[in-house]
Amino acid sequence: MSLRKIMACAMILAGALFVACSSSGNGGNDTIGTDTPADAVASGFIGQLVDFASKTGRKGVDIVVLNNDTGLELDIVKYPPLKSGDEGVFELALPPGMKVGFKTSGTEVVTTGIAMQFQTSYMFNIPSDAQGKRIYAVNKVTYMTAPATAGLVVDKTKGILAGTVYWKNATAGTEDFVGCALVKAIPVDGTEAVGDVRYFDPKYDLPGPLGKAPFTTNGKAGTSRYIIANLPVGKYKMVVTIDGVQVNPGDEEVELFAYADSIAISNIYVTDQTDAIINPTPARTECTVDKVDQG
Amino acid sequence: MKRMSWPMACAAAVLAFVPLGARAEGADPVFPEGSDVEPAWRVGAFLQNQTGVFVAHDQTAYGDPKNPGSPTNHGGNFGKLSMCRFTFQMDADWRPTSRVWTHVTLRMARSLTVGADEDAQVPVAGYAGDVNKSRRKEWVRDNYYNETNLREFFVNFRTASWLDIRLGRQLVAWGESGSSRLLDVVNPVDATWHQGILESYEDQRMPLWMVRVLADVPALRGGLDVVWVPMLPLMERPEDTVTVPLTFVNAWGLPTPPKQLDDSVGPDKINSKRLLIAHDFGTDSRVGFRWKGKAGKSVNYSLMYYWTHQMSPPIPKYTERPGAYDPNTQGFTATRTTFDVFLEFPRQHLLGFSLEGQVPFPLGTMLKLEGAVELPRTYAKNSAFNRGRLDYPGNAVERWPFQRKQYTVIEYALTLQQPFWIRPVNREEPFVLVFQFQHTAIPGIKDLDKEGAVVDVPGYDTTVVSQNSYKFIGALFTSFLKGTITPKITAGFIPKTTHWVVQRQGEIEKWSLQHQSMSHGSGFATFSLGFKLMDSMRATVAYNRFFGDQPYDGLGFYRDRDEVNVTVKYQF
Repeated sequence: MSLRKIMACAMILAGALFVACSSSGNGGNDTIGTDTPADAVASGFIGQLVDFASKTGRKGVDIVVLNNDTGLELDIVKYPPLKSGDEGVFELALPPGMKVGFKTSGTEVVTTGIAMQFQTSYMFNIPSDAQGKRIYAVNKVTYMTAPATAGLVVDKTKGILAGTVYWKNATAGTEDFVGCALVKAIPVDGTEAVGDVRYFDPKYDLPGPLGKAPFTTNGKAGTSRYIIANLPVGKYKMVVTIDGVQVNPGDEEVELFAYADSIAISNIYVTDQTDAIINPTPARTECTVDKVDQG
Repeated sequence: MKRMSWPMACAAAVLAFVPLGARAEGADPVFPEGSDVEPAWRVGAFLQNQTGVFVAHDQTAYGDPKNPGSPTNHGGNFGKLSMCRFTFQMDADWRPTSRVWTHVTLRMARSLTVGADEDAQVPVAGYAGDVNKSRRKEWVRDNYYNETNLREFFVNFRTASWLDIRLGRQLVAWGESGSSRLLDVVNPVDATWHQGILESYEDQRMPLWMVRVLADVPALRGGLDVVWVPMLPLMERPEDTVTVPLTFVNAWGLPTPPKQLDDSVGPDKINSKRLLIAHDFGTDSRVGFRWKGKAGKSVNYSLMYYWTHQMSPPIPKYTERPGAYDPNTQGFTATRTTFDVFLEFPRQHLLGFSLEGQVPFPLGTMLKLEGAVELPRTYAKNSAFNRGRLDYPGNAVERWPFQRKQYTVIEYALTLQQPFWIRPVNREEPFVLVFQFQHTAIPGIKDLDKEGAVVDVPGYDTTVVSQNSYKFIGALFTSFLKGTITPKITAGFIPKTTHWVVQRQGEIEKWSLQHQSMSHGSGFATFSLGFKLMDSMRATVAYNRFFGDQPYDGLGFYRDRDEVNVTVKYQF
């Protein structure tokens, strides 16, 4: 295993963390994006470029708006690349009612200290009229130093997908973790899952080996974060199952692009297929973690 | 810090008390009672118990569910023990000749463990997690609550009528102004057993081995006090030469840090804290002097310089974790997810002065002005500030430095002491009112500059340092029935001048610094009543109240630690 692969693996782990961090607010990944309506009126999108590790806004990072369906630049003339502003905040006039993606990369601008460099990162399924959306970017230090605890060997010619599995609690108005969920990435034109899947270990909030973190967890100390490494470049549908039953069928089956040597972040929303108003986490003890011993 | 000193204590006993005992057996005092000449020997001792109980109910520190992990309670619960400390201290002086004398102070203290110490932030690896709660209490007990300490042990040589040379383990008080220690900079401090502002500096000072030269200069109406602390690795441990970090204990230490602006810097990511304490003989020594003189009839003044280490707080230098770095691929494979944090005590120059005198009007008014300049003081950066450049020394560890900032700090304190009579209340003794104003100015700091923000307590972003900060302290006391009853009220207020505010829009969080009105801040009030129980026994009952609108700043750290404290002291 080359160390480069290990580093890429680490980046994956970092990406998964980042996904976890995007837990608050609208994940907006429940439907696939739509084409830009020709006569749509531009709306205001307000976002904040945030370093995934520190959750702090970063200025001067390169941002490109992507077509959510194709993964290519949306319209480079109408929506040229831009840089994040103060505190990482940026605004765009985008057509409302559609989903877009963001590609982030480059180096932040600082007045003092050492500027943070970012690995190319992607986020998809972002509502074009969101008013206050975090766009996460994975910094290269995190990418390089994230622990290789998950036993992954990363191929830098392939891509990484990462995110968090949520259940929308309509009663409480929250997005809750889901335990005992398994995530698969299946090529849109295929049937077999590909890539190396890992889940976050609640103890360290980092991807763990399958022996220690064989599925997602919920609970006070749980983390339903996942990461899938070594995906050939292409488009994938994300399938989540609990006890063999898919819990994100139909529109909830998120589609994501995997790009070489980069991380694409997206949350996945699931529902219990028998009762939509309950968290689909099984009642088994291993699915819920309320306390971890850091010692 | 385990108090050294069983060997030292034994040595002291042999060197000091045995000769004293021999002299005592002779029953032949060298100097008759009533003489104005110092006796050849003198021994004093006291036994004391100090017990406190928390009386504050828990206060929510951060109720924000988005900040899980922030402690909701800083101290122990209502009715729980806040401290219980037994102290035996003995002082002895021996003057075999008029030119040589020696002094020994031995302190033995034992404290009971308290429940709040379960939350101590033990710097050693392997104490984290709920499963180790009781081990943390034991660690605190073993390292801070069991003390056998040779606090002073020195020999004074009077080489001339105007010149003394004093060698040994010593405590030096170059001035203290109410609640501040602007010029009291020689000895580090251990305030782990109780809140520092409630205890005397005399008890908190940690002794150091030093060479001290005291010279009277009558022609200039003053005297010079030169101190050299050489650092003696064979005689003292490095951690005994710096102030004990208050995160190491919990009943009277700092609570677990709240979520930081950069939440990748969290206490759960720390494997251990390692103090880098410069402690080589000579090269790391500290040296300084104080000139104390008289100007006019009623004004005393002093000038001070000290080349020292910034003894508190330790400043984070870098984090490390083991692994393997491959220069070819520039890849690092860590073997551990948690970090060792290395902290240091930077060098600094200290300059100071004091002026003290009686003011003709009103009657009995005393004024004191103390000032000090720190050149420079090193501050830790806010967690959200970028770190330094990653390095891989020996390709075996990943080392990531912290940024820090150095500023010149100017501090002064003005103290007014005014006795006055209220005859209908107390016909025998006057009341004494003490008021102190302290101002700390850091010209280099821009209050609202987020990028340049530094913190007072590393690891606690909420303790942002302002360009100007102030303290107001007041005390009122008297005594009744010839000292049989001594009531005292002490109160202090520390305004908070700058604080962080967060603006949220959807998922976006924008942090900025904002000025705050002087009505915000933290403080304390102590109401105590002392009783003379017998000729040699005194008891003091105190109610100590803390408040603060920010739970992680100033005395707000202690706002859940109101207590009732009882001290009984028997003087031999």
